Amino acid sequence: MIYSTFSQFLAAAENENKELWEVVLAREIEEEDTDREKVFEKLESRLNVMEQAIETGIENTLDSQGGLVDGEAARLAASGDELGMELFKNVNIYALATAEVNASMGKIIAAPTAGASGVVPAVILALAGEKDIARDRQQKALLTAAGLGEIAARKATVSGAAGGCQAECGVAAGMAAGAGSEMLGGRPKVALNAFTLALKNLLGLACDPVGGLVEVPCVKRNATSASCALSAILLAMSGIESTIPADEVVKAMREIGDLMPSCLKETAEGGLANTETARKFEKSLESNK
Amino acid sequence: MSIFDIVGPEMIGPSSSHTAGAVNLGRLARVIAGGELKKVVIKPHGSFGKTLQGHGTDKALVGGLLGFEPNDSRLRSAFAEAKKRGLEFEFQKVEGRSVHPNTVIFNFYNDGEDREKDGIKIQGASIGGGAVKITRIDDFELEVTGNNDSIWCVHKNVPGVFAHITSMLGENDINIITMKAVQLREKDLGSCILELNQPVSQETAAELEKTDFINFVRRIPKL
Repeated sequence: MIYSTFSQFLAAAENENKELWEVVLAREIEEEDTDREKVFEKLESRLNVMEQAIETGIENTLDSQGGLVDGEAARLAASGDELGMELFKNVNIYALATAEVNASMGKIIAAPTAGASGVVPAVILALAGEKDIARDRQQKALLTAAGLGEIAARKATVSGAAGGCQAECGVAAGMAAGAGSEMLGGRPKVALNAFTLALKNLLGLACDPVGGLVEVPCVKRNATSASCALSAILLAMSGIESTIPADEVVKAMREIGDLMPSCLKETAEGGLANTETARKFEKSLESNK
Repeated sequence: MSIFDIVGPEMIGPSSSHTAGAVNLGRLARVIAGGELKKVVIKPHGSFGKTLQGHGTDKALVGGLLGFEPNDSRLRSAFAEAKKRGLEFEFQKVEGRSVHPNTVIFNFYNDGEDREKDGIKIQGASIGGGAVKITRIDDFELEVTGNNDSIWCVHKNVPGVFAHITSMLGENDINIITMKAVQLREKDLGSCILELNQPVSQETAAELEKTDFINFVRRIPKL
């Protein structure tokens, strides 16, 4: 075991003057009995599926299973750039597109879950497009994202049913923020701060999907979580640090997840799922059967 | 944990346990039932029944029975594919007591080689992140996860049956990772699942079946 905590992960990089992705790669090769070439082949194939999902989502050719989301990515893509922030807009389009494809039985890469699958590709691919970042740097960013998510999964959970949406969209935003910062040239400490700042902001997020479907609030929450990752990148790259270190934030996430009642953990019993509108929708779904 | 469990799997949405896991249950049931399937009644329990349409669990279960993998784009149109291939299916929601919320039972009525008449009943659960567990095959309480290549044997309860199976595997250089065996005394039948470090060839399986105390051997490939 090369590392098991975030602080060991950071130390492993800093002591050998490596980037985070190099430490993740070394661990993957050691523990999974694989080699560098195979890992990068897989990363490339994952990136291809991510790009394909974004394209499919923007084309808007699939219908969602429940019919609660329809063409949000396409609508945003066709709209003007109200804020004059093209990168920010693209991140939101990409996240919506992937999440819509997921809701429509299209092909996606879980990152770390299917429900939060829009966040990581949105940040990596929109940033790469904006800054003209080479493909190998995008692959390495995906490695960093996975490395950060892996520790969170091991130390806490990335399942909405076990830890609420903080464990899905929260961890995804952290993974995206860490990966994005490193891809832009941020040092390991900066990347880890970006991860921590993003996750910290989404602590406490409930998993209360309407009708139990991965549609409302999931699809739009992918976009807002990706936006949160952008903000965390901006802060971390300027040298702003998280007061609470990553290991403690993930521990807090776990504690919050354990304290969270089960009606807010993917059971569609509480929160948004228990609103008047949600219950009305459920009835209409029932009568359509 | 591999990093590709975190950035991955590549799958058809929307849910790893309700969609990808459902596909995997269908795939395992297909090989355990054996052969091309003709007719199946699918009984989803609890949360599986609730998300049947919303999470595409219905299409995922049928797609798995057709042998599709969790990343197969044809899962969206699994019902039409089933029709094309002559697989008849129907859903009957049931509420089982004290079973995993994501449980499904498949009742097969097929005309495979071994079971001309009543077919076979297979129960399993999707236990999270796409991982699954078959927990029952007919009256046998056994466990199949698809994590490794496995074989399923049904045999008579005679002394030496396991020695026969394990020594033949050993002769073929196959290592046994786990083994679980159960007996149905009233029917004088035994059954076992062996998880192996590599697949068993068709020849070795046929060789095992030659013994008259082994009714049949079915090969279950790793998912």
